[in-house]
Amino acid sequence: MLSVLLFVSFLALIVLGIPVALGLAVSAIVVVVIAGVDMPWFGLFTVQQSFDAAIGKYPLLALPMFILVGSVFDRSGVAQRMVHFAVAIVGRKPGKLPIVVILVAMVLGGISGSGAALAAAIGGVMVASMSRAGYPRPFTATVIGSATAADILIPPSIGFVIYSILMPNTSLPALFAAGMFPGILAGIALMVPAYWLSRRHGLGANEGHEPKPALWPAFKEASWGLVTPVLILGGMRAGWFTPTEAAVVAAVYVLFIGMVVHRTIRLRDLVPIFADAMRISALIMAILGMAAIFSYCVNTMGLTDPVIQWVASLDIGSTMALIVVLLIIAAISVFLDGTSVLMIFVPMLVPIIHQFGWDPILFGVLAMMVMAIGQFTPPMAMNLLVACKVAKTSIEATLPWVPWFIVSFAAATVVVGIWPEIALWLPRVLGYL
Amino acid sequence: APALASYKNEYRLSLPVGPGTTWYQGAENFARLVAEKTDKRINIKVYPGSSLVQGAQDRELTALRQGLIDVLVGTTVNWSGTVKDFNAFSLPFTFPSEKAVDAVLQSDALNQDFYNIVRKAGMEPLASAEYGFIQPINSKRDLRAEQDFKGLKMRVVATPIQQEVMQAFGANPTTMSFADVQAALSTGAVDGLTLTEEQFLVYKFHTAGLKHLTRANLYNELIHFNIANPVWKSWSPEDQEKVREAAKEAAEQMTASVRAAYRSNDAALKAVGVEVVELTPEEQAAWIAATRPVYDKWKKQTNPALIDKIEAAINTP
Amino acid sequence: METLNTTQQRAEPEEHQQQCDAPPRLRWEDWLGAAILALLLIMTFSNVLVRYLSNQSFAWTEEISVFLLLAMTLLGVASTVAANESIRIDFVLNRLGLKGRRAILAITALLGMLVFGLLGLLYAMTGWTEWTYDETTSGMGAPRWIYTIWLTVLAIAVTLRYAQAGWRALKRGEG
Ligand code: NA
Ligand code: NA
Repeated sequence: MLSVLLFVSFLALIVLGIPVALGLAVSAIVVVVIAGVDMPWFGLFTVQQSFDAAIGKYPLLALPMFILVGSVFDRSGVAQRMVHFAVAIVGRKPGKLPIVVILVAMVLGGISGSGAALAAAIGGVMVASMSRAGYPRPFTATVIGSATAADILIPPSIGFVIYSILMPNTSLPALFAAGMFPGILAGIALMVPAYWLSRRHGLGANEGHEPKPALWPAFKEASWGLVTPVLILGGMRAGWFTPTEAAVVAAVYVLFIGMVVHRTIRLRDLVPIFADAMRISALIMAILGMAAIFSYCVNTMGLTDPVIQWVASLDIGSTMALIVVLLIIAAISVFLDGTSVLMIFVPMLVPIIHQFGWDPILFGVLAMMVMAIGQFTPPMAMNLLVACKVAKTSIEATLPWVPWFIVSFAAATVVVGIWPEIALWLPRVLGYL
Repeated sequence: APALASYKNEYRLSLPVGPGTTWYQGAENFARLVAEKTDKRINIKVYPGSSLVQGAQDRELTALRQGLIDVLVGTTVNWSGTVKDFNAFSLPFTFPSEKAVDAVLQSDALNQDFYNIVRKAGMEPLASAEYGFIQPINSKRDLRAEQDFKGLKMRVVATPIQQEVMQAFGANPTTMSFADVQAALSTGAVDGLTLTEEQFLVYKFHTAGLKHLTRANLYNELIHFNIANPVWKSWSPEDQEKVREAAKEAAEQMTASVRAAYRSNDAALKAVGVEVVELTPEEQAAWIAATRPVYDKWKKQTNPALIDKIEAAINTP
Repeated sequence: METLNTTQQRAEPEEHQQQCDAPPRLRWEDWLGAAILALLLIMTFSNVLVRYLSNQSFAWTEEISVFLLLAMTLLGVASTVAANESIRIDFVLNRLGLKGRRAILAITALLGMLVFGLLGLLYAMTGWTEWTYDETTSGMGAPRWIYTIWLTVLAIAVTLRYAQAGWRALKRGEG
């Protein structure tokens, strides 16, 4: 009964438009009080304990740092230089600019931890030139929105930071490494519909008339940004710093590029940049804190046992159960952002993963891929929303294009499910497994 | 006697470790024995992984005082931030041997002085068991003499005592959360850490390249079975007596199985390719001497009178 | 799914330009929160450097970092409430009339006041327990209530920001 109240009241609140953090807190607090009538202060101290403990974790320091990296590199001029370099490689022909967008999103995904910030940065650089080249704005928004969704897979990823904190016995470097090839695979999968749709509908007819930058100078300009992912992953592998510290090192390095190398960031820009990163982090960490109260309720009401029993009673075997769980996550991700999905459901999934003996690293990667699809699936699609804003178009207008990209990304997910080595090979070779 | 109106349907027991450990078995055993002996008037549910406080084990005692936790089965070192006397058993080489552990378990220092401190901290201590010896383990070399520690990056928890002990050996203490350890070992950010042999095997640390274990008996701890004071007072004297019996039985079984496991570890460690170094009495004496300044300093800062009594109990033949 | 105004602002190229030329109005929470984030960056980065140069580490800063993370979260929440930024599903909200919008924003503010007011009260009582029991932190051995008291103050600041937001919603129907 109480568990029904917990979930129904939460859903009702957030559908009405109450912020997710408050929706979690209010539904959980009501349940805590009802269940805690025979406890001192109705057991309400758990509100403060859970909030404190969920946010007061040292490894979580990586979260504001990777968001800071995103805020800084948005203004560092790295995106612009990366596009030049990609165009220099790919060349100028109808259908090539969308591929440039996806390539740049993959490389910059190795710097950025959050897809929405990346969509804003790439959109700011690409929308104008894609319009000039003759791509319709809704198509441009779709390409940017879907390409940046793969950011959550390519390390660093805030999604994996949160997953590793919530899922016992998963190390962050292992997850980072495991996301790399699935992220690249997803990027390639997106190039297929992007190129095919362009050719079929004759998009980008003017692209050939755009200037083509010279390769070597473009490479030199882009090299500072290109080195960043190597620094982050290499430094962790070499034991120079822990994953938590890697986020900090990346932030310092990107600040250095923006302030000293490209000189796009002045001293007085720092306060708004830091304040921006601080606010975005706070929005996410507040959800994390409130979701902890929610999961305390789930935990003490013994809700997970019946759910596990239910899944086990379906008697559908491990593989089917995995597919069912992933489909449920996919359905929820259509309506909720990835981090909220993780924070609410991972604690509940821990026993299910144990029950079926799924590899928590592989499961994390598959869940993250499924969530990434949700980030560009209307109606509620964070990355697509940002891309539409930059491209000055509406979500509705993207509807003819989006399904092709969803199908293609889903196919990449299925491929990783069938050949788990795509995810697990790299972390094993690097010695993380 | 029937359950009194003031009895709760369920009492919540918190501990940081999960199934598969002797510690968890001890807690589960206790819960089962309590239910049996009180004809299910008192039902204890075990919450592993300190899940009632989102895994923040150092907040367990505060949560107990706030009524969120009713039963704690754990080492006091986890709550030493909350009560500084709780460091009393966490100094290096407090227990050089199992005999020393037995002496303390039966001593007035534990059963009167220390238990009174626990009562003042907000809970009724019922019984105590052995935690198991904590040994230094690393990936580089066998540790026999002090100079073997030179240049080793050893992971410690963020408490000053453990850091100072490693510095006393000449190693470089590095603090990191347990979640980061596995990755840090595989990349060489740290070379080793201190663990019980059981933890080493349960967490499969040999896969991270840890090959050298020295049976120095660097630390040991006691695991105490405690009930929150208001909960304890809500029970009838008969039930209190039964719960105390249950705790004593569970504690004795736990000490026994910790020791049984310790004897059987040799084979398990050999099977995963770990070199076990046994120290000679002279070598161990050198280790103890090296950490003596740290011991003295923290004895003074913790509770010198209590630690004097603990030492006396150990040194009485 | 959500209105993350911070990102959206940045998404507008014009506004982006504006932001670089004339920084947006910053509230006290923004200044303090930005300073804390900078401090976290400096502390952690120097820890990496010091460990390399001297084989020492100031691990004791861990508990300060953890406290700063909490303080920063509350400051950021206060700032986002003041700026009407949140992570929410705005599908229904965008399809409501002015009255309905106002009602939901007022309810949001009320719930926010209740949740963070409760949090502030609980922090205050926890701080009191820590003071009476002389609780100290395990890393530095500092009295715990010194940390908790600041979190109490910041939770109250969030509560006041929600009160302000509720006033705005009722008075002018802003959101
Ligand atoms: Na990324
Ligand atoms: Na969606």
